[in-house]
Order: sequence, then C-alpha cells, then structure tokens
Amino acid sequence: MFSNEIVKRGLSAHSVIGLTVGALLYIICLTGTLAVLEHEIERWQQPTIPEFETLNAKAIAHSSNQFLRKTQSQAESLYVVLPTKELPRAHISDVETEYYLSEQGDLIAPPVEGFLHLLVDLHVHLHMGETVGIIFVSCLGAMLLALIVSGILAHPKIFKEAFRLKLGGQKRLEQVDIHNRLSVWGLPFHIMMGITGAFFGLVGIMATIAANFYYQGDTQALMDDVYGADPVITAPPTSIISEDSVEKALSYFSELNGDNEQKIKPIYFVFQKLGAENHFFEVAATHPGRLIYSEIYRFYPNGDFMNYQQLSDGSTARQIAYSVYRLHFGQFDNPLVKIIYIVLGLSLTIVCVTGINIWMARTQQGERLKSAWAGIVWGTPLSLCMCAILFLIIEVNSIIDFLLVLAVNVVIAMALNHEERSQRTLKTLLSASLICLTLIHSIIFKEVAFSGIFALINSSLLVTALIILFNTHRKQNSSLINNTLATNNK
Amino acid sequence: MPTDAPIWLALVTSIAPIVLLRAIWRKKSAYKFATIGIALALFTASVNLWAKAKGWEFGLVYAFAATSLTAWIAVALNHERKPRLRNSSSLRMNPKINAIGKQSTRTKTLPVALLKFLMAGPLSGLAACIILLALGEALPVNRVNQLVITGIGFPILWAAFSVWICSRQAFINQTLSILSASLFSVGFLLY
Repeated sequence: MFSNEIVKRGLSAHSVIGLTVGALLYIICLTGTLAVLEHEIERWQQPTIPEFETLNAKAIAHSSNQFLRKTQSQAESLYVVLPTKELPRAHISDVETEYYLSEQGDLIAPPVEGFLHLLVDLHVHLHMGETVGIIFVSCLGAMLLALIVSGILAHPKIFKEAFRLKLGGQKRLEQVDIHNRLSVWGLPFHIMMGITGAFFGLVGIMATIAANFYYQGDTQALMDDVYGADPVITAPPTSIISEDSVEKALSYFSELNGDNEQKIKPIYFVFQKLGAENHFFEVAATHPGRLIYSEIYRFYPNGDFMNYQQLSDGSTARQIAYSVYRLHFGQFDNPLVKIIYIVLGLSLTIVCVTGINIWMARTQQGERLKSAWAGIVWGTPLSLCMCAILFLIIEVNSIIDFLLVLAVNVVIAMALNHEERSQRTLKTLLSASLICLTLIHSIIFKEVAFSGIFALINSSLLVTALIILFNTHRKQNSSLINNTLATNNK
Repeated sequence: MPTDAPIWLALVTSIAPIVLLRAIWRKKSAYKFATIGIALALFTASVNLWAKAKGWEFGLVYAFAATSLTAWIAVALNHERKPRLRNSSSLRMNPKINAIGKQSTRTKTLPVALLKFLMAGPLSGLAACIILLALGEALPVNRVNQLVITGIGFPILWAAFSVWICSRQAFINQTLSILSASLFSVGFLLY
C-alpha cells in the first residue's frame, strides 16, 4: 500500500515513540479499562451503604440542611448527587467533605478514598498531581495517536493480512499478528480514545494560549463562552434549602417528560452561592440518546425555572466538548456498553504489550530485560490487586504501596531472569491474589458479598483468576511437550 | 414489528460486511471489487440502522464497535496454531526489517536523542496548538466552534508532527519547517 521508504520511516517512528511511551500507555490503558467499572467498584469497596433508586424532595432538602449544619460549610457550591440505576446510592458534597445518604436524606458515612481512588487517579493523572498529571496523560493520548498514524504507515500488508492469526511458531510473528489484528480492526475505538483522552488535559493548554490571543488572557471568559457562564441574579440571601423549591424543580422535569417513554433524568442538584444574594440552584439531567454528560437546568431559589445552559442544543462545539467524558469512559446507554468498552480497552492494552514484545523479539534483547517487562506487564495488575487486598484489610491505600509492590514484582521477575518463568510466576501470584481478594471481601462483607452486583463482581474475579491460572498452566504443559518433541527430533 | 427489530437488523448488517471481506480475503469471492462495494454499502446501512435504533450519537459507537468485535471474532475463527519455536537462532528473521528495528531505536548521542524528544514532544505540541489556532481563525464558523475544532484537531496535528520528526534520523528540516509554520501562525494571530 505504501512505498518501502514510507514503511521504513513509519516503522522507525513507531518504534521510537512506542518505546518512549509504551510502558506508561500500558498502565493507562489497563487502569482505564478497569475504570470503566468505576461505579461497580465504588459499590463493591463499600458494599454496606444503603442503595435505592430515588431520592425525594424532602430527603434532598433535609440532607442539604443537615450537611450545612454539621459541616458549617462556606463552600460556594453544594452538590447532592442522586441515585441512578448504575450507581443506586446518593451522596452530598461541598467538594471538601462528602457523605453518603440514606433514603430519608440522613448523612450516613463518608465515602472512603479506597482502591477506586488509586485506580482512577492512576488513569487520569498517574498520581503526578492533578494539573501536571492530567496534562501529561493527555500528552500520552496524543502520542497514542502518533503511534496509530505511524503504525498504519508501517503496515505494508494491512489488507493482505487482515484476517491472519498464526499462534505458536516464532514468538515475534505471533506477537506481530496479535498486535496488528487487534490494532487494525480496533482502529476507530483507539483513535477515539486517543482524541478524547488527549482532549481532557490539552484543552487547558489550548485555552490558556487561545485566551491570550482572543480574550486578553482571561481563560475563564473563554471557558464561559464554550461551556456557558453562570447567570447573574439577585434574590434575598438564605442558607436554608426549602423542600418546596426542590419539589417545584423536580415537578418541572415531570412536566417536561410528559408521557415520553424515554425520560430526561435529574442526576444531581447543585446549590450555588448559598448565603449570598445571587444564589440559585441547578439540576443536571441526562438526556436520552445523548452523549452529553448532562444538561444543566437553572432554578431561582424559590424553585421557579430560570433557564438551561444549552449543552444539549447550543452550538455544536459546546455539545461536542460536553460529550467527551461519556464517550471516553463508556458511561451511556446500558451495561452492555461497559462490556464492549472493557473488551475494546483490553485490546488496546494488549496492543501496548505486544508492541514492546515485538521490539524485544526483533532486536533480540536479553532475558533480563524481557523479564523486567514481564514484571511490569503482570506486576501491574498484581500490584493493583494487592492494593485492593490491603484496602480491604487495613483500609490503607496509596500510590506508594502500589509502586512498592510493582517494584518488588519487577525485581522478582528480573531475579528469575527467564521471561516465561517470570510470566508464569507472576500470573500464578495474580490468580492467587485475585482468589484471596474475593475470599477476603466475602469474609469481611459476608452479609452482602453474595447478593446482587457484589456476587457478580466476586464471581467475575474468581473466573478471571481461574482463566489466568488455566492459561498459564496450559501454556506450561504445551511448552513441555514442545521441548520434549524438539529433544526427540534431535 | 418488535421494538428491538432495528437493533437485530443493525447487528446483522454490521456482521455481513466482515463476512464478505473475509470471503474475499480467502479468495472465495470471484467479484472482488463488487464484493467490497457491497460490504461498504452494508456498513453504511448498518451505521444508519444503528442510528435509527439508538440515535446518531450512540449509533455510531455501536456501529464501529460491532464491526471491530465481529472482525476479531472472524480473525479468531481463522487462527492457525503451530508448535512454538524455541531456538532463537532458528528464527526466520527478515534482515531488512530487523535492521530497521535496530537502527530506529539506536540513538547516536544523548543530546540528539534529547533534542528529538523535545522537538517531537513539547515543542511540536506547542507548534500544533498555535498553527491550529491560526487555521481555526480562517474557518467560517463562530469563535466557540473554532476553539473546539482546534481542541480536537490539536492532538491529531501534534501526532502527525511527532511521527514526521521521529521518522527521520536527521530531523533538522522538519524542525525548521514546523518552527517556521508556528512563527508564521503567531504573526497571523497577532496582526
């Protein structure tokens, strides 16, 4: 398809960029794939929190007033997040303090910054600090796109080999086949992940630069233009949230939906500038069939409808910018989307791993380096699993623990100094730790561990452990057979 | 008509193009170009059907995802398994490709490698942003649309610049071209 020169240059760029960012991309892809299940993990790590699917106006007003009394919060915004089908639990937050709510609106317990926090922060900013980290991870998104472009240029037989998959034989050729088939057929998803992933952090850089040219350096003015600005209103100041105004706002949605089968669903309330003269409240609501995170409906303090932010029907640009989150994390439509995103995300993760494997095989690297790479590949999920265990047992969870366990895994792999043996050891340890994780969760939360979603998650963990274990030992047996055959042939 | 009939129809039209392409690939179809045409038409139909069933936004995601997943299933069904070759000396290596692999990752000196990293990384990113802002200015859409198009195009242009720089051993011409284009863009944006 391309000339030899283009293929050669494409391959050269692909190798340089892949080797520079491959390992980090692998960690981001793996954690991103797991983060698709963030709601399920949030429920799993604190399974005793009461779950319900609606929170009435009385409970919303009661929880807000109770929160303000208890925390003496002076924050500008107070969020009451309503339960949904995906996450059937409500919580209240002023960003600094957060509580789960009962169905009556009582403050139950603060959410723990557990395993989910570790996982999501690893994916979003690699624990490098919010601003620097998100920009860095977004740059990796741009490099993923660079890998896609150079990968296409470096693939001279893209159609000829479209359906070829030769397993076994030479390891390099096997890895090339897996890498190319997954990446070529997954291309639309991988491009979308690269663009949306890069958008989150790079939009900040772009806004800063653009603001200097168009808005005299006022980045907020630019953001207001893109996403919509806060309304300017005047009302008597109050720090009490009335049930009537919340009820009025909720009834606005009932009228809006009428008899429609697919409904606009409120997902959270934000009480803005409480105690000030310009206070008001907003209700974010999802629109059926739309990727926008939500439309924001604004209400006067007495509950009368004011306007909406036009995220659903404003400029195309605003709609696109507000659709990036759900598109990137697969949080739309039904649970099947999550399964599809997990499969597609895993494919991208495998592409990262096989890419480095190909380079190792092609340049005939030594066993030590191959083992170290195996340590990173299998050590990362193992470290995540160990962190989840640590969280369940002693409620401790930090990036230091993760890095320490990962370092130990890499050292073990390098000490074994044999790629396959390192893989086998770490995979067996991963299976064992997944089984331990399930057992520990079941023992600690024995009342709920085998009901509903928790049973599904725990059994999925067990099945994953068994698949990895089976796969490891099947490979071990087949290599033994191959070795015996090779010796007999000699 | 059952309510989920459009979804099933969309699914079938997503699977069909892959089945046809696989047939061409296995040389079972005598009419290669006609079959490719039919496959493309079916794919277009599947996008429309998914959009009808789920709305355009979800429909596009489902259409592409269904195609990817079907293709992977087709690839998996087509797999061949051989016994693993263990002895590295017996590897059937393509010497040309092997040479490219070794050459591409070999850097002459650390300063050159660092310069390449800086150029392909932060500097071409900055250049991509400025060039796109200037290009966006020329688009016949309002400011907000210009900004979001720039935001989406930013990583794509950055990726293209990185590939351009990383694909050459000597990258001075690429560096100078990108820098000149970004300086020109700054001038355009300021005046």
